[in-house]
Amino acid sequence: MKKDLLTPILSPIITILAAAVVLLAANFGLKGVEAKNASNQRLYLMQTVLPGSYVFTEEAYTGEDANIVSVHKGDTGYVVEATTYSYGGYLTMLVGVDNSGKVNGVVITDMNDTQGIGTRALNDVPFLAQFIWKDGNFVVETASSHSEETAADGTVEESTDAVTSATSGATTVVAEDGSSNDVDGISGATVTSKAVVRCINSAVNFVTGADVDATSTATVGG
Amino acid sequence: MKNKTFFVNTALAATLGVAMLAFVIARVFLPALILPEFGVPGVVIVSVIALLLEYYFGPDKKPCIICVALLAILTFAVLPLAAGYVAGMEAVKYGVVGGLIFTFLSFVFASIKDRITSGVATGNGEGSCKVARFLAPILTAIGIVLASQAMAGIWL
Repeated sequence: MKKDLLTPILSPIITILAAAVVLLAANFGLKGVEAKNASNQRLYLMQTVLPGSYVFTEEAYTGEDANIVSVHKGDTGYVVEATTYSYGGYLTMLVGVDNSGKVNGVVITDMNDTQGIGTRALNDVPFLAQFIWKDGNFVVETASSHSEETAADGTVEESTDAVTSATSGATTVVAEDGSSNDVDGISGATVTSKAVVRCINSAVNFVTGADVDATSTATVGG
Repeated sequence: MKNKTFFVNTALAATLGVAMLAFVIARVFLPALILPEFGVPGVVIVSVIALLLEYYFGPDKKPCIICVALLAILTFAVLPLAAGYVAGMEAVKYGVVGGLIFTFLSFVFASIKDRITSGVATGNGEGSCKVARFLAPILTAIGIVLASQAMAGIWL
């Protein structure tokens, strides 16, 4: 009876072990290639979000903004890696900001939001393009006059005095001071839109020095 | 215990192995690619593929369900760990949750299989339709996968 059970059970165990060996070999054997490709890809993305800069130097971030992961100085400005909680977990972005504090390019490098809804932010060019050449401190307002949204970390975001987009009903992003930096968010993905805006705000604030106290502004972010 | 087979676990190990290998290759050669998390929907997709393989190519003999569950736990713990997708206690969590989901789905699929083989249109009797018999499990699997989307973001 024991043999009757052991003999057939060997087949899946051998398959599991064989698959594990192949995966381990691929995982560790390709570590060098993975690191090289990841480095090249990162450089390519940084050159894309900050045109005119080809070489980047990582600088230590000493500011107070918890969203900022790393800062890379280029010839024409900075590429800031920022991360914040979104609907399905952390959303990470590279934001290129020139020395005058204007956004030159943005790219989302990691996110876990709902497929087909939040993930539209990855390649929604009209949404992302609205931040380009702007220096605003953006704020996301929702279409209703008062709304609550819960992010993945359970944070409840409240908003009042919202701006309604009459044509599309989409979320509207407006500059905090009411200036002309109004951009439409992604309809149905307000939490994601807010996360993107938080990352971009953090990056711009780093370059303009708004993220740190006055004494260190001169040395961080130019 | 005589003539028990664990074809479904072999199919599961092969399916998950291929999925994890694809993950490793994508991570290495396509670093900019943002893949969906391998959460409950991912576990369900892998599980139903293995169960479909068993439905079409496996033997009719039913294996010991406890052994099926233990092997499934081992599979979901070891392969993501070997692929570098998870580490440490996270692998144990993947093993337990994945194994339990797979075991539950194997119950569901066994029940569906019984219904299909005894149905008027999909059974072996007069008036049955071969196409319907062939498509019924696939359509059922698609329904299960779609239903599992509601569980994205929990447990794993």
